[in-house]
Parts: sequence; structure tokens; C-alpha cells
Amino acid sequence: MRRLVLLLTIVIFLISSISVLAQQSKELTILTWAHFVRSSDEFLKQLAQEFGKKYGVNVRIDMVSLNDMASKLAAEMESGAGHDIVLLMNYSTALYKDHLIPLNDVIKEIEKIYGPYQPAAQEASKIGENWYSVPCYYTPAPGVYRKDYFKEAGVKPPDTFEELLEAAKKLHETGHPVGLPISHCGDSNDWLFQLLASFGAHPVDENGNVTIDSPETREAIEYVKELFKYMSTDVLSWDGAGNNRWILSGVGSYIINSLSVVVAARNNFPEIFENLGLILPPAGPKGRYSTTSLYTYGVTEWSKNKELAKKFLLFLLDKENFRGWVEASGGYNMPLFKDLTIFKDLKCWENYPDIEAVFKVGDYYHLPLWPAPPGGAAQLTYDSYIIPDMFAYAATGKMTTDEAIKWAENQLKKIWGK
Amino acid sequence: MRKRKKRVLTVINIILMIIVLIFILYPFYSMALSSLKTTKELYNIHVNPLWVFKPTLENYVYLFTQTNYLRWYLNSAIVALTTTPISILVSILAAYALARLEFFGSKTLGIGIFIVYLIPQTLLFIPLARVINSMGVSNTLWSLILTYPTFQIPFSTWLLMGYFRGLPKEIEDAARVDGASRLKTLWTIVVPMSLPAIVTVTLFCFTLSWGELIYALTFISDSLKQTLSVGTTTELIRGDMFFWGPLMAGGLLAAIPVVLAFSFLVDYYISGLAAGSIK
Amino acid sequence: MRADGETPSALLGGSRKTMKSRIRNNLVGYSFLFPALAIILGMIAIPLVMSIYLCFTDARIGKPGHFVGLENFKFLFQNDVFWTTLYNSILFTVVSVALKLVIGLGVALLLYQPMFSNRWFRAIILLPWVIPSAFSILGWLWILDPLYGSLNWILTHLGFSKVPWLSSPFWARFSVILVNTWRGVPFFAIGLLGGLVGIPKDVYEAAEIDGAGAFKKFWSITLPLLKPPLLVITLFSVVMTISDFSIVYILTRGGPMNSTQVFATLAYQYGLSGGQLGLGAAVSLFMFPFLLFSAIILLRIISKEVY
Repeated sequence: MRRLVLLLTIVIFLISSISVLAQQSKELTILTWAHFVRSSDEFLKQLAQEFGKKYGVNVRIDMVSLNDMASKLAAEMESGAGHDIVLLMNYSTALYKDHLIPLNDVIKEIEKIYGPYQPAAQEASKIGENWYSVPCYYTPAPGVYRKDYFKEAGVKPPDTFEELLEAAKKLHETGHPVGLPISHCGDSNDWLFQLLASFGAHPVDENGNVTIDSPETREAIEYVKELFKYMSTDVLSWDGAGNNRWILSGVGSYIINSLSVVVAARNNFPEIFENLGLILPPAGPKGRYSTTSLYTYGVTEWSKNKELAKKFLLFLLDKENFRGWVEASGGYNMPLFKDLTIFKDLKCWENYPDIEAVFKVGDYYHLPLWPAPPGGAAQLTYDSYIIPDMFAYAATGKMTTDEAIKWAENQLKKIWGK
Repeated sequence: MRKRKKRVLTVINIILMIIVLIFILYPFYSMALSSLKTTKELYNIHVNPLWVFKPTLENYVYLFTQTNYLRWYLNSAIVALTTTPISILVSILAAYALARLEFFGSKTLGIGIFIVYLIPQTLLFIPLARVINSMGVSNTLWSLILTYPTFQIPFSTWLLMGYFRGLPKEIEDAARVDGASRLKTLWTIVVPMSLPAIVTVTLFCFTLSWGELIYALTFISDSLKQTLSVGTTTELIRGDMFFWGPLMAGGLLAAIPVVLAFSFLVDYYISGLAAGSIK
Repeated sequence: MRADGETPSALLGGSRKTMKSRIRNNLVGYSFLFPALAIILGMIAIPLVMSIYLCFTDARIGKPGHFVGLENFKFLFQNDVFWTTLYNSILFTVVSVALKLVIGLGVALLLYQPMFSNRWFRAIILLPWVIPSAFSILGWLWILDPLYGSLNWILTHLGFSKVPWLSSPFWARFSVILVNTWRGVPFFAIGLLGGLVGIPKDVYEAAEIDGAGAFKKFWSITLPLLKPPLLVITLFSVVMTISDFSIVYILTRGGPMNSTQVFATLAYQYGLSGGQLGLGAAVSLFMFPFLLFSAIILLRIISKEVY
């Protein structure tokens, strides 16, 4: 009897360990965000299945809300366990580089197919000599405007911030103000950083020195103070969807946003969609810049299927697959290569007005804090909303321009240490 | 004279209750309307938001057919219905020990249990993720079943402790004189006398589990295994696009059945108390 | 009434405890306490110690840190955002809990009345507490939205001007307190109702015979007897309110201009987004002394009053 029990125990143990081991080696897991355009996710899942069949592995894609990505990633990085492939946006690659494997070989293959990436790709994914993540797409944020409201106000869509201010004054009079957030949200960070850059102001320089106290910053703040007079005070409370609602309600005339608002308009508000136009984000005295979200994927150091993961990334960015993915996303996933000719014949672009402008955004694209070195300090600066707060304090009059700059400098110095 | 006073009091009570009901129910009214509106109507700033003019069930249909809502509901229910009885049982034992049995270190341990509760989840969840991973229960409902009691037990223990202490000792002592063990005294006498408190802590444990977000997000990745709050917000908040209709529908359905079930339960308990009261 | 020496406690041997019975008592006590301790210590002890240790390091996510003593706390104390956070957290907690207590008590008294003593009223009152916060706060977000919010619609149609519910520091704080109160009233109401139900009716009857009016009954009987559950519920409400994350995170993300930033959201910002675990832990742990302080005060009142 005892021997039987012992035998049974051994058998059960063997079976369970085999199945556990079998599970371990035969599953590839990917952590990504729940895409705004569902069909993009569907396509991704399809690709995963194809890949799985080809290599005899179960590919599981787990999706998290964009807001929750930071927590999820942090928990995995801290416990040293989790998915094989993870989504890394903007500064996450630099933040977690110690837990990612170099992917130089993958990048090489990709650039063979598509040509070189835009410089911004390196800002995010290349740390030192090595690439630690594969940039897949970014979400260009052009100026999105109401052609009819601009016509009514007698202004042309703005190519520079000066023109934007002029337009804002007239549009405010006609009851359809422009809407640019100055609040605790990503959109605020994005457009205010690009504003600063286009005025020649850099909060932090490439060596990590805090250089926000400058006449250029002052100029930028005075600009926003003036612009704020012609905007609704709502902009102080907006979340990421605030500017979308500004346009979709029919009230707003101009926002700087990703194509999500265009997609939403096309799906639900055809009268608005008919009147939407897209234009490059405005240029300032010192140039034109764009900063939004870059979506890259990296392979974690604890992955038990590193080679398979790399193969998957190559499979994802294989010409037909990647084009299919962009198409499935309705054009929302914009590749970040210098030359986009390979993608220009896709059908999805027919859904947008002025798509040529959108293609060009990549030429001006940088990570928000550029040229500051990417990493934890940059991420913390971004997530602490220091720049939006600085502008908010000045625009609302809670602080003078100088006080606001001093405040921001103080905050930045604490984070950057210099 | 007394009758008029009573009538005035009744009217005051009714007015107060109406105010309370408006305060409590207004957001639910708003959510209900949103759940029945088409996207077009929802985003129409010119129409009266306090009514729905072209009601539709499409949001509910979307919720049930295009998302794993029912699965998430089931997962949340499993976790809540498993952890609540466990925590209640454990707390009853612990509370009784701390309230009635004076033993070495009881006071310190009592305070210790409470202090554990003071530690916020946002502090614990990252190190806890490590523990969960090493136990091998990551990405399973077990990770939640093991961790939820850590915030259910402290409050339950303390509330019950306070309640037990307030009960008259004579009845318990009488039972013990008759030869009942501590355990038997607890179950046959103390617990029935404490039903209001037990009902309160049951509600508390259940709702804490039902609405918990951080641990559920951190420990579980697979969509099919997610709980209600995590799954629904992941699915219906995509980037800067909120799917308000299905979101609000999901919220209502997460609240109403639970509340109904619970109120029936409370009824049962309270009528039991009134009928078989030992006092 | 029995004579003192014949009460059951006396019959059980009163205060004379033999060694054997003391050991036995300890054993029984610990065995009752064991499950609770096992679960709590088992799951929490290690993470707890880790978290506390983190406060004194410069740990990043995925990077073990070096011991830096009080550096993190120095960083916080020299940062005005931290002081604003402190102010906000205390403000929200004190005001919300006070409101929840008063309104909750009132609702409990209403529910206690025979005409409202049925399951439907209790069910309705429970709703804000039962619905997962993730949904209800989003519901409020829509109500308070500057463009679509129904509250502003009502106000403008009544002739008032729109209220900047989430875009002015004052109103943003108001909104956070409002949602917090709305969500927490059921907790107080139902908890205190349980306390009210537990008060035997003959105590009131005796008082009535002595000529006590409604107010006297409430003040001299109800309130004192409610004190134990009231204090425990208040204490736990303080803990829950001061460590609340979702309301601020979903409604304002700490804005406008950090006027609604609280400990939990600040800790999240530093620790998770910024990856500075040590700093995030320091913020989180800062709640601890407050909670301990309020706990000690409230506990003192409990033990004094009742036992």
C-alpha cells in the first residue's frame, strides 16, 4: 500500500513537472496596451496565432489599459518575472534597460527592409551602443482643425505659433476657441514641450543640466499667457480625452492631437468629420517640433524564449505583416522610418484628410524632453507635470513668469540633481 | 397635540429621506441614462442630459458580446465569495480571542493586526508581486484569494472585537459553567448575538474584494482571468477614447445585483435577530 | 440579581488562575488568533519590511538601491509639492470623514425609523459603496465634465454660471471631497445602523417612562452606546480616506497645479511612473505616522469610554 502511494506521488510529480516545464518552454507571452483601434489588436492576435503555428508555440497577448501600463511594467520589472516581450513607451526602455536584452541584430534586419529609423527612434531605444527595444510605431499629433470655423473667422490654418495666436483671437470672438490643455495629462506635456523646443528653450540639456531659466523660456511663457486669454479655462482640467471632446462636441476649432479624434469623428460625427483638416504642428521662432508617444517592444532578460521572442519581433516587422498591422490600425500606427514610401499605398490613408501632413510629422519628432538624456529623471519630470504646472501658474496669474520659472527650476533641480 | 408632533416629524423624515435619495441616486441616474444613450446623443451638448431621447440597448449588447464582461463578473464573484467567508471566520475567532481571552501578548497582537491595516496597498503591491511570483500563483485567482484577506481581516477583527466586548459577559459565563468549551460558546451564543456586527463586516469584506483594483491589476495579466474593474476599464478605456455607454452599463450591472442580493440577506439576518433574540 | 460571589464568573474560579489554566488559556487564545496571524504575517510581513526598508534607499524599479538614510525624506521636506500634498491629504480626510460621519449617522437614524426599515431603502443607500470605485468615479467624471456634465447644465438652466468643478483649485478640492463623501456615507450609515439595531428597545422604553424626549434619548442613550462602532468605523474611514488613490487619479490626476495631489497619487507618480521606488515608498510611508496618531487617539477614546 505504501509503495503504491509512493509510486503514485512520483508519477503525479513527474506529470505535473513535465506539464509545467512543457508550459514554460512552449509559451511566448507579450504585454501590450489595449489599442484604441480594436482591429489593430485583432490583427496582432492573428499574427500571434500564425507565428505560434509556425513555430509550435502558444503565443499569448495580454493587454492592459494605457493608464495602467506603468504599474504593470513596474511590478514585473521589480519582481523579475512576467512577460517575454513588453511594450515600452518613450522613456521606459532607458528606465528598464538593465532588464532588457540587446536587440542590435533585430534592428539591423529591420533597417535592411525599411531603411533607417528617424532619429527619435534612437532617442528612445538606443542606450549607449546597443538597442534595447524595437520601435514599432508612433502616434503623430498634427494640428486638427475645423475648416469651416476657420473660414468663418477669416483666418488660415496656422503654420506657426504666431499664426495660432492670431487665429485664436478671432476664433474666440466667433465662439469657437482653440483648445490646448494646460493640465495634468500627457497631451499637456506633449504640446508644451514642443512649444518650448520651438522657441529654443530646453528645460534640461543633453548633459542633464537644468537650463530652464532662459529668455527663450520666458518668451514661451508669455506666449501661453497671451494664448490662455483666448481659451476656455476648462483646459486647466483636461485629461487626455479633454481635447478630443472639445472638437467632438462641435465647440472647438483647433487642437493638437493624435488621429484618434479623426477616427472618432469619422465613426460617430460625420458632420464634424467632413469639416476636419490636418496640418503640421505649429513652428516657433527656432523650429518645428513634435512630441508624442512612441511604441516600442523589448525582450525581457528573464524570458525563457529569448531567441523565439526576437523571431517574433522580426515576424511582426516583416514587410507584409507590418503593412497589414498599420492597415488594420486604420493608419493610427504610424511607422517611424525616414522613408515611408513602402506604406503610402495602403488603403487606410483614404480615411484621412491631408494625410501628407501627417506623414511629415515624423521629420520633426523627438521625445518630449529632448535633448535631455532619457531615463528615470526624464520620466519623472514628464510624470510630475512640472512643465504644465509652470505654464498653469503663469497663465492663471498665480505666479509671475519669473516665479513660475524659478519654481520649475527648483523642481527640476531636485530631480536632475544639477 | 402628540399626533401633530408625530405628523410633523414624519413629514420632516420624508423630506430628509428624499434629499438623501437624490444625493445617493443622482450618479446612478446619470450612469443609467449614459448606458442607454447612443454615442451621438451622449456627445451632443445641446440636448438635455437629464433624459434619454433615443434609448438603445446597444451598449449592453456590446458589453456582453464584444467583451469578456460576464467572465470578469464571474471571476470577481469567485474571489469575493471565497475570501469573504474565510476572512469572516478568521476574524470571528481572532476577535473573540482578543476580546475575551486574556493571554500573553494579546494586546500587542491586537494592535499589530491593526497596524498592518495602516499600510497602504500602493506601498505593498510591488514587493507583494514578488512574493506572489515566488509562490507560483501569479496570473491566477489564487493570488487574490491569498492577498485580499490581508485587508479584510484587520477591520473585521477590530469591529467584531469592539462588539464582542460590549456583550454582557454573564450569558457566556453561564454557558461555560454548563460545560461548554470556548469554541462552543462562541458559535452558539456569541455569534447569534452579534449578527448586526457580522452582517456589517460581511458587507465590508465583500465590497472591498468586489471593488479592489491594484492587486488585481498587478497580479493577473490574462484577460480571461481578470476581475471586473480591471477587465472592464482595460477593455473600454483605450488610449484617450472612453466607451462611456458600455462603461456605465458595466458599472450599473456591477452594483445593482449585488446590492439586491445583499439587502435580501440583511433582511434575513435582521428578521432572525428580531425573532430569536436572546436579549 | 445574584449576589456577587455567585455570579458565573465567580463560579468559574474568578480571578484565581492556576498555572495550568493560564497555559490553557494562552493556547486557546493563540489557536483562535492563529489563522489571522498566519494570513497577515504570511502575506504581508515580508512585503511590509521590504517597503519600510525601501524608504531609506535610493532603489529604482528593478535596481536594488543603496542605503541613503533620510535622503528621500529630505527631498520631500524641501519640496513644496510635498507640503501641498500633505495639506490636501489632511484637508480631504478631515472634511470628508466629518461629513461622512454626520450624514451617515443621519441616514442611519432615518433607516432606523419603521417607515424606512425595509430592504429597498437599505439597498439603495448601499449602492455608492457597493459599486466598484473604478465605475462610480468615472460616472462622476462625466457629471463634472466641463462640456457635458449634467451639473453645469442644470446650473446654467437655473440661471447660474458654470462651476469649474475640476479646473479651479478650490472646486477641484470640493469635487474630490464630494465624491469621497458620496462613496463613504453608506459605510457609516449601514455600520451605524447595525449599532442602532443592537441597542435593546427596553433601554429606550425605560427612558421614556422617565419622561425623556427624543433628543435626550438620542444624546444620553443612542450616542454613548454607538460610540464603540462609531469610533472603529471612523478610524477605518480615516485610514481609507487618507490612503485613497482612485478618486484623485481618475478625476484630476493631482491637478490643477497639484491642488488635489494626495499621498497615494504622489507616491504613484514618484515610485511607479518615475521608477524611484525608494522615494515613492517614503511618500507612502509618510501616511503612517498620521494614521498611527489618529489611531492612538481614537483607540484611547474607545477604551476609556466603554471598558
